[in-house]
Amino acid sequence: MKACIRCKYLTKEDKCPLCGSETSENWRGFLIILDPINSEIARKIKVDCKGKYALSVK
Amino acid sequence: MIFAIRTTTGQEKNVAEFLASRAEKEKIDIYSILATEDLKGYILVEAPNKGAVEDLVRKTFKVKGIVPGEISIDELEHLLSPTKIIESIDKGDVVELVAGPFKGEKAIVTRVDKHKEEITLELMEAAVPIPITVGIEQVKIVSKNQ
Repeated sequence: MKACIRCKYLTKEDKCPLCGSETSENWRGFLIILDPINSEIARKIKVDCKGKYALSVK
Repeated sequence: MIFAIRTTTGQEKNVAEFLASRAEKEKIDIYSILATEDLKGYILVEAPNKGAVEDLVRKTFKVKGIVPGEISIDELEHLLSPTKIIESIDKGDVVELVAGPFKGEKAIVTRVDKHKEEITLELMEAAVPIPITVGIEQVKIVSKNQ
């Protein structure tokens, strides 16, 4: 899996399906957001879309 | 509310994915699931109450148990925003090379390229100081420049 360098969304594509930025294979941390409205973690990392995210991308 | 659950070391991401698909399939109220390399053998699950987490891990051989007590969001600050090593390295610092042909050698940082995440070094024990440029993952900080 690859992570978007801007929004950290995890995808198999070379371009992020959410923001269109490039993706990188070098990422750490694995976060699955199931309910972005109620999740405090989602609010903390400013994510408002359901899905899988990396915590840091290089 | 955030709870920690114990799992097999090295399987954190797989178990997180398994639990996420189970939560969706069985419509269990789970807000988020976090697996990080800094917390080996544990996964963090955010849910409205402990009952939801108990429902989620029931009858799964992959989970070894729920850690008693809950975690506040403030305690996760350092996990959610990991500071990059490049931010903490400065010109003049002494580093040790941990990979590559100069593994084990100590060197002084002469230049830091934050954008490329590369640093330029001068080996301390070399007779002639030749600048070498390496990736940030190849060094560890030994001492900071005072």
